[in-house]
Amino acid sequence: MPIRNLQVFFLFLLSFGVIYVFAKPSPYELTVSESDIQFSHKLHVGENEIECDACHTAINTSELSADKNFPAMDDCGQCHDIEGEDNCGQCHKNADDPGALANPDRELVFNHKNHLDLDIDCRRCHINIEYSPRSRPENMPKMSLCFDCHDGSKAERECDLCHSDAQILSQIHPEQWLHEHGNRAASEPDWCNDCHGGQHFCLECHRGDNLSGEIHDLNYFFTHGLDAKSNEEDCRRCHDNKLFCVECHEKNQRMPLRHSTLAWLDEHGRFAREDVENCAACHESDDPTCARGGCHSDFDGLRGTDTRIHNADAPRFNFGGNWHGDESYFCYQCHISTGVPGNGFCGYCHGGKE
Amino acid sequence: MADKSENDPQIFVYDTYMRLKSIAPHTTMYIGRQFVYSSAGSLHLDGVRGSISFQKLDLEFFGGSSVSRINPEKIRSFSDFSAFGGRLYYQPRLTTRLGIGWILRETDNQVDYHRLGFDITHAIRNLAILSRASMNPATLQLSEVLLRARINLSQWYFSGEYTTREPSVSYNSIFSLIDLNRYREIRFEAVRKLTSIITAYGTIRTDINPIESSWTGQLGIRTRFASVSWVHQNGYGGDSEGIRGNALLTYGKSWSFYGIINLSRYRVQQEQIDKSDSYSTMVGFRKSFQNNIMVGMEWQYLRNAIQSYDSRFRLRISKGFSNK
Repeated sequence: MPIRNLQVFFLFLLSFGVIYVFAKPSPYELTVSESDIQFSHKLHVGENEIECDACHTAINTSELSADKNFPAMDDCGQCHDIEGEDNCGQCHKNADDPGALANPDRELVFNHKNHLDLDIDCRRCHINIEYSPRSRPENMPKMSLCFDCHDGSKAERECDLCHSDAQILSQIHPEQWLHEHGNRAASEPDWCNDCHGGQHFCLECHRGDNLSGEIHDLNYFFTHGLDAKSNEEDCRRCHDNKLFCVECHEKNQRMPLRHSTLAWLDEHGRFAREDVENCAACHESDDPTCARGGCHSDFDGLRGTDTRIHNADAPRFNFGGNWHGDESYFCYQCHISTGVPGNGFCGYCHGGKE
Repeated sequence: MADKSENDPQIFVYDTYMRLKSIAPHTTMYIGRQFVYSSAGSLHLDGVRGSISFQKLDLEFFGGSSVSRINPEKIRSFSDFSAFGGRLYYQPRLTTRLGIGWILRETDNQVDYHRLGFDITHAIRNLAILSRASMNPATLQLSEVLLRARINLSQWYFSGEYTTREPSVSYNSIFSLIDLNRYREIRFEAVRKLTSIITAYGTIRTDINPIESSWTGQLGIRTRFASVSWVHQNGYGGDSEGIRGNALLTYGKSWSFYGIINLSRYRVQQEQIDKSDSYSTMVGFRKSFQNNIMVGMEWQYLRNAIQSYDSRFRLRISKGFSNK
């Protein structure tokens, strides 16, 4: 597979080979602390149907997420023998030096008591906890789950209801987010939807009409050439050249000043090679200017007599390629298919004796 | 308000689709007009989109006809304006995502845009890295490579980006014959927190072009409610000197007031002797009601090379029927 610019490609591969270092998760992703305790909710809740508050005894009165809601060893002692030293390994990974379960710091504002008073079952938020053989981050509710109720109708959905930190937005939307949000939106649209509630938010900017100047300045009709020529972005990711650019440029007949200079006849080839999108913005049509008589056209049917655009040995021109037999193909904008061996364009490959 | 545009009134339908949730296990379908993304591109689509999420994998696929930017009121022919694509993402942990995206768009029954993209993002403590590469499956050429890194320090934020890409031309185009040079861009940003509420930022970007490179610089100040910046550009892309400002104030939970101003003197072509002026401003407000209803009013004023006085008034009422 031919790949141009191999150095760039290997640089890209190198970026994939990032050394795995313990990554600090976002402070707004709920996590489970690494600890010495090994515990199976599947065994206790799933198989033995023990109620949550039998172990999490403080949960019914907990008003802060920072409260110590994990069971204390005495709570385990209701069922398990916690006195004998031989049993430590049942719960502690390191039985020789057993450690306590650390209470994680939680920035979130969350009131378990309020939710439980509304008869919301623990498993409504701690989904599938009864199937969990060990505590995992997946057992902690994701923000998207909160929005099932906190949708602005059933319950409030304001950020400061749960997040006390004024720097929330700068954590979620770092600097230059306007420039960088595309990739995150493409890979995890549901993450955006949690706060922004669906595609209608995206279309506030990405409607394509620029009626409110959110993507481009209101005068962009006049100033877009600055960005288009400096190639700030690949405009074609959103706009198709052929109709979007050409229709307007043809209709308004806006010609670059450079085109009216005598030197343009000699210079245009270099400009085409260096900035072909600029040319295509006007000239991309079924009747491109390049192919008109007297320029890059092959009306005499004689090979090698006209000013060349391309080399003859490019792989795309193999006999029987896509272009062969398809008269809508761009080749026929310059070359005339006679259908007769030895005659005109066909004669380039097909001799007269066939 | 005294003058009408020649095409008034116009009705635009931006997104109207039916969502079928859990149509199969872990599967959701969307049928209708919608905006779709892929790491390889994006488009406005009349058609079908499906998504399947299973554990750490997300698969999305879509197909239909692309929506015209110029005549969005029409549903275009599928045979002439078909568009397909999809994306597959794997998130092995919270800080890492790997993805593959594909998009194919046809215009007038000819391939207009065709990309296969790969991307990876990874966060290491306060450093985040994004890499993206896409290729044109028709030509088997590397279309684009993007490398981006950003780092958050206590009072500083830095971001750097390098992009190289092939010019976008249709495969069935006379321009695809030309032996083309790649576009290359380098961007660098720095942000400094001056106080708890004031931030200063600067961006410099250069587009490397063998004819003549162009560069753009921006310096600005930002607070929680407003920002103002000076932008300078010169080189192959033209010359421009301008000021941009915006402000957003919220009142209570349902009111927001905003204003934007753009002022510049520019020249799109170096051969132009005189520079042109561009001025635009808009002020408006939005009021949100319960049940996802929003009302907004906006006044816009423009001055440019053609219109010395162009004043517009927009009234917008929207109702959201779903939060997802």
